Formats: sequence, C-alpha cells, structure tokens
Amino acid sequence: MFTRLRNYILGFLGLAFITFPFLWLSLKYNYATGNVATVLNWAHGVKFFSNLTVAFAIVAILMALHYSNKKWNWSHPILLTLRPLAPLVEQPWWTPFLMVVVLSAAFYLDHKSLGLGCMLGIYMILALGLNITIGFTGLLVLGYAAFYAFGAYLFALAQQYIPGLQWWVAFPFIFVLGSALGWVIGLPCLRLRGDYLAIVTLGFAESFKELIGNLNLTGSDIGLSLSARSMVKAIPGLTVLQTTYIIVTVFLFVILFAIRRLYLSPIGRAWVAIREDEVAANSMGIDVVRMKLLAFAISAGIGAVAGMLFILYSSYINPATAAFEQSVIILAMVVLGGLGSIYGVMLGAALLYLIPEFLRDSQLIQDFSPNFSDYRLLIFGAIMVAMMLLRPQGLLGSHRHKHEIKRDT
Amino acid sequence: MSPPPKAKDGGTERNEWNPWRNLKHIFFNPKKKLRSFRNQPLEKDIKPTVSLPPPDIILGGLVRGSIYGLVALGYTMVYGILGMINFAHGEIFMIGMFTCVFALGLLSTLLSTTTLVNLLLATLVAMIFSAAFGYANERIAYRRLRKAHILAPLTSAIGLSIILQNFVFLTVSKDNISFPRVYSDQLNKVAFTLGGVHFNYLQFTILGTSLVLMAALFFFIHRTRLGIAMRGTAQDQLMASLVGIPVNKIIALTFVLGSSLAAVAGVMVSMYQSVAGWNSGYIWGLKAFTAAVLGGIGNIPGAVLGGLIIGLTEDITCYYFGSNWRNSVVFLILMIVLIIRPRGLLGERVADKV
Repeated sequence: MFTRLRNYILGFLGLAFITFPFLWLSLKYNYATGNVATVLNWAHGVKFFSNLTVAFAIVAILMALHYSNKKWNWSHPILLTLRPLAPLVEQPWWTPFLMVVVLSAAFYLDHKSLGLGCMLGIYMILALGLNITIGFTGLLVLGYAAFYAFGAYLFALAQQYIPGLQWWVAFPFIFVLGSALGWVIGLPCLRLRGDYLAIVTLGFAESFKELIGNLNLTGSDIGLSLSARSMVKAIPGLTVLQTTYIIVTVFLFVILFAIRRLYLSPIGRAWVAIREDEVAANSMGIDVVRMKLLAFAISAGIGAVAGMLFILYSSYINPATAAFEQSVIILAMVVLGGLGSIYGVMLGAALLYLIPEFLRDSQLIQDFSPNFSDYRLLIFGAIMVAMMLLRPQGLLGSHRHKHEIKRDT
Repeated sequence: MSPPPKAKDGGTERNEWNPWRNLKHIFFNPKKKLRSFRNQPLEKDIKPTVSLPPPDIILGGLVRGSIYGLVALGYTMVYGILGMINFAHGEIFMIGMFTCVFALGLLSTLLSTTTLVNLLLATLVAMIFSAAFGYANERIAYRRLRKAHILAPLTSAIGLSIILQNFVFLTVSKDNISFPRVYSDQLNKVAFTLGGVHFNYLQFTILGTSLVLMAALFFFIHRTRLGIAMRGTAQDQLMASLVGIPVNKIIALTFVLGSSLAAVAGVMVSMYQSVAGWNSGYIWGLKAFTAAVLGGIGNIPGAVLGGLIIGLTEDITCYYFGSNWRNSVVFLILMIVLIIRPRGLLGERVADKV
C-alpha cells in the first residue's frame, strides 16, 4: 500500500540529491594559487526558483483548474495515508494560485511596496483575530490593540534579555501568553452581558498603555527599538525585508487556514450559536462561558502574534501602538468587511489600510487636503455608523448574519 | 542561553550578559529622577510614607467624584431604559465643554460684561447644545437599531463617538483650548483656610451644583408624571405604549436629560481644570461608566455613590503613587467590582430577558 508513496518520496529525494550541486553549491576560484573551492550558496538556488515563480503560478493554476471540478477520491491508497491533510487540499481552486502570487510578490515588489505588504498582512491578521470575537461570537472587544502591543513588547523585551532569540522560538510562547492574558481579562466579564466586555477591554487597553508608558523596563514613552538584523535571519539571496514579507505572508496563510477550520468545526458552530442566541445556546448544552473564553483567548493570542510580526517588520514599538485609535482602525476593518465573514474582513483590512496609504501619496490629495490623514478616523467612524444602519452584514457578509443583525422590528 | 561566565573576583563582569543586573532597573532607574514625591529626600524626611491624605485631597476627590456621578447618571439612565451602554456620552460631555467656551466668548463680546450671569447663560447654551447632540445620537445610532442584535447599536454608537471626537479635533483645535480665566477666577477664590489648607469657592460650587442636580433628577424621576412614564418605559416598552406612553419620546427625553447633565459636568470640569480638549470626553466617560457599574448600573443613587468612590480613590492614589497611575487604578476597580459583585453596590440582580 505504501510502495507507491515510498517510490514517490525516494524519487523526489533522488532528484533533490542529483540536482543539489547545481542548485546549492558554487565554485570559488583562487586565481593566485590556481585552486578551486566549493562553497554552499543558498542564494543561488533561491534565485533559480524565484525566477521560476511565474512558471510555478501557471502550473498551480492548471492544477487548480484540473482539480476544481473534481471531488477528491480519498480512497486511493496514496491519498488515504494523507487523509488528515484533506482540508489542506480541498480548498477553493484559486488558493494555490493566490498563495504563489502573494508569496512570489516578495521577489518583484520594490522596497516600499514590500513594507506596505508587510503592514497589510499584519492588519489582515489583526482583523481576522478580532473577527473571532466580534464576528463569530458576538462579543464586542474595543481594546484589541492592547493585545497587539502586548505581543510586540513581549517579543522586544525577550530580544533584549535573550540576545539572538529567533521568532520561531518565541512565537508559540507569545501566542500562549497572549491567550493567557486574554483569558485573564475575559474571565470576570464574560459571565456578564456582552457590553461589559467592551468597556473592560477599553479600560484594559488604556491601563496597558499607561503601564508601558510608565515602566522603565518598556522604555517609557519613547518605546523600544531593536536592530532588525539580529531578529530576522534573511533567507540567502533575499533581503531582510523580503524575508519578513514572506514570514508575515506565511503566518497570514496559516492563521487564515486555522480560522477557517475552526469556523467550520463544532467550536465554530458553538460560537455562532452563542452569537445568535446565548440563552438558547446555553440550553442546548453549550458551555457558553467556556466557549466565549476560548474565542477571546484565541483572538488575543492572534493579536499578540501580530504584534510579534510587527516588531519583526518595524523593529520599533512605542505605547501609541496600544492607543484607542489603533483598536478603532481594526474594528472599522472588521465592520466594513463584514462581521463574521473571513474574506470580508480581509477585504476590509485591504481597503482601509491601502486606500489611505495611496491617497496620502497622490498629488491630487496633496494639493487639495494636505492633512488628509487627520480625516481618516472621522471617515472610519462614519463607515461604522453607515454600515450598521445600511448594510449591517458588511461588504462581503453572509445573508444569515444580515438577518441576525437587522432583525425585523 | 549559557550561564554567564564568572569574572575572576567572583562577581560577573560589567559588560557581560547578566539578566539579574538588569532586573533591578525594571522599576527603578537611578539615572532618571522619578516624578513621585516619595523619592525626593526633603519630603521624605518631613512626611512618613504612610499618612492620612490631607483634607484638600479628600475635597478634591469629592469634587472629582461628584462630576463623575453627574456623568454616570447619563449612562445609568440610558442603560436603565434601553439596556444598552451609551458610548457617545463622553463625547457629549466634551461637546458641552466646547459650546460653553464658545458661548462665553460670544456673551462677553455681546454684553461686554464678565459677570457670573454670563457663565450661567453659557452653561444653559451648553446644556441645550449637548441635549441636541444627545437627541441626534439617539435618532442616528439607537432608534433604528433598537430591536437589532446588541452589537449593532454598540458599534454605531462607537462610530458616532469617533466622529464627534474627530469632528471637534478637525474643526476646533488639535490642542487643548483654555477656559477663559476671567470667569473661573471669580470662583477660584479662597473661601477659608483650615490647617494651612486652602478651600476655594469653585470646589464648593461644583459639589453643590452636582448634588442639587442629582437630587432634582431623583425628584423628577420619582415624583413627576414624566418620571413615572420613564420608569414604566424602562420596565416594559410594549406595555408602556399600550397605556398611552409615547415610548419613543420618553427614550429621547432620557437621552436629552442625561446629555444636559453631562454638559453641566463638562462646563464644571473645564472650569476646574481650566482646559478642554477634544479627547477629554473619552477618559472622563470611561471613568464615569466605571462609577455607574460600581454603584450598580441602572440605579441613580448608585451612580452618585460610585462616582464619589471613584473620585476619592483616584485622588488618593494620585497622592500616594503619583498621577501616572490614575487611569489604571480606576480600571482595576472596575475589574474587581465585576469579579466580586457584578451588579454593583446598590444594584439589583436582574435576570436575562428571553
């Protein structure tokens, strides 16, 4: 049963072995002595594959089109062993296409666009995390930026006290500690009505900002700045920024996938049930408090991880990260895109982050309103009111959520 | 992480990696002078570290607390009648601050006097404007979404409060505006001195005005027909409408009443602190909401009691630990109240309506 799988694996390994010297090694001539040395050169192979991204994209599109109309036959002996990975494969047809395009953007975008891409990825992760509480479970969290800042400060401090700490070592700890913080904050108020949570998180964000603004440990009002080179080990052949972009993108894909699986799982259904009717959900045997706490903790953990990614990108953090405005921006992204809609909040993040960024640079805006960025929050507030009144399901919201929010009078 | 290499004399060398050397700088940086009075040697010699707060701190706390109580009334009334938090209330308080300063400017040029009558008139103008904003808030953010899921009105009210903040930020001033000193100096005179501590008229004016307004509101709600209608609406909107109470108007009246009280509070705060800023409504509103929760949300005497407790705690904390931690303490109180007694000090246990 495993013979074919074994053969595939052996074949791949053999191919990797015989191409190894051509891809990953390079020759170094010493003309003085007439000698030659063979050295590892990872950049060489990366460059080779990066130049092939367009080809990969075409292959991915063809594969996706091929499999899109066909249900996977999991009874095939090879595929049976890979059954647990089924959800990874049974994605919409454009998923591999999108992943390749987004990841390979690291190779052809310029420096500035890569920065925008990093921040966009971080905002998308934040919006996805906040969507768990607001969209799925129906809990209003107003101080989400505090968890974001918590993760960022945690990673920055860990960097200072453990020099050379790598992000892949720190990330599970940051996720767990952020979740623990969310659990502690949510514990007192999740037993109560939903709007207490809004106020408590608001107060928590304010106090957290005060705390990190006062302690010498966190650099007071000035904040912490680290050197980027020590944190991100660049993939050979790529710059630090390109590597950061790839890290952020991979995190975005992983979190997106995890959240989709959670949403479709019994846990996700319990969350939706709580959102639609808490009392009914409770009487159906759902442990409401536990499920709410779980949602809040996961959301907080994702926020903390986004904070870590922010440190990787900007290597600078100050107390303004935990400010109310930051929370409002993330909330507006979720509300605009559609509460509870995974792709909706990503669209909302893209619109609300990129449009002001592009408008800031455009000459037209520079001429007519030089301080356009001041008007950003005003417009965000207007979006929140207008969306609630006119289209409560958001731009890409589901019809079910529309009926739930805009109940007939 | 390898253990730090030992130096020859037994200790660790200065430039080597040693977390414990850094740890003592977490809370104390010897290079930086702390703002807290406790680290100043002269004060330390005179005063023992633990002492009762002086009477001016107590009075300051009461003044602050009465203002919190006044703002908290708006929160608690709206919560009592609609079961929703009025998020834009803090911003309406801020609108009161600004309209009062505008009205004072107009009045002093029109009447060319600077008497306290102007101040009264300006307060009236501020109340009218704030009431109008409160009514608009109800019409825009709450009325159409009253039957919707709880998230919808909350979100729209937050949006409205952001709009109001940034509207003032963009149209009036990015920095704090100052209250005209001509008016506040008339009240800021020393009334009497007790044990070397000055008490001025302004503090007593604020305390008196707040208590009178609270008593008036209590009387209004419990003794007048409109108040009875309000309480009826709070109990059951459908039944209230069946017995002929105009429910929509009563709810609007609740918003208007709360907003005008907030405007008075705003005027007094801007007079007391002599500045008004576009973002001051946010933090005052947050603390006033904490006061309402502490006293028991939906309960009017509770809001007053909660406000006084929060104000006293905040000022006493400032006295002992410095003003850096004033917001955190209030939040800590909120958390403790929610853990120990979520219905508040005077609140009743309310079952969820299905």
